[in-house]
Amino acid sequence: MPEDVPLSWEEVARTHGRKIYNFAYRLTGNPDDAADLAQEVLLRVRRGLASYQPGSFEGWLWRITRNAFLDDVRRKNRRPTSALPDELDRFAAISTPSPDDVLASLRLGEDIQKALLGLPYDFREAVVMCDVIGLSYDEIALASAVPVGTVRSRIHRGRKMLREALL
Amino acid sequence: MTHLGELLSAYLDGEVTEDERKLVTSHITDCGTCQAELADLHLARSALRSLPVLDLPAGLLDGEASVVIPLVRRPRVWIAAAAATVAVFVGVATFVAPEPTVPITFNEISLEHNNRSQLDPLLTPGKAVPPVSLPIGGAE
Repeated sequence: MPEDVPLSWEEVARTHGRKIYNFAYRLTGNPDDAADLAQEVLLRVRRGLASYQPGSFEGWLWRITRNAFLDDVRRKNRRPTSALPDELDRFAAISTPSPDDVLASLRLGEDIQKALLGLPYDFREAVVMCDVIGLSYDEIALASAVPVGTVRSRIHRGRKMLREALL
Repeated sequence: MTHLGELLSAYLDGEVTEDERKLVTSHITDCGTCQAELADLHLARSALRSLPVLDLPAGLLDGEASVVIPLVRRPRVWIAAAAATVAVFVGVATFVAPEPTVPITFNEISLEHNNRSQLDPLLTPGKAVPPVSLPIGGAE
């Protein structure tokens, strides 16, 4: 059996659910939308696992995630929104060790998230897949159905735009 | 002098060939423009990597042994439409009850998803997938 074939839906949910949720949150800036999307992706994975062809599981999974996100945006016919301050407060309490660190990381994280949401979709997706999720260029190319050269260009331009926005 | 542009990001990520890596290391020694750009790219990458990894919302995957996903119902139009349609065609009374938070089964989520697909003209019409049958995984 190829190494990249997942054993079960439950295993996929356990090992990738958190990543899918983080991907969705960084693209939308909205925890409710991110939770909805994570559930939608896991449903699609459940239905698709039976017909999954051995290859790049990461590419397959993230293509499903990406398509689910784009379907959701089309369905709602609106642009992804920014998180409200209280929503960011909720997340800040999850993993920061001290109140000072909470405030510092919250402000920084909030600025970065806002800058991220200001990027055009293709560039936002590319830098989130690369720098938040940790996918390789090949995996991003598979997920986004574009050549690796396009991935390289999007990541570069996305980072430059983000840097400008953070100035 | 020709600057390196997107090769710099790929270099940061280790997504370059050996020849490209040598080109970058040689070039940035003498090129202040590319040095500055590399520093900017590194800062942007570090900023993204510094974002906290968020935990899944409580309950999103709870009870996976019995394949039950507690779902917080929110008053959205599509949910109401799906609930009404499901109630008519399937007679599932639980969908009609306006509970604010109700654990529902994977089958119910699947049914609701299919119903959404039927209502949504953006999705393929007439191709709704039957609800997923349980048990799943280790329940066999």
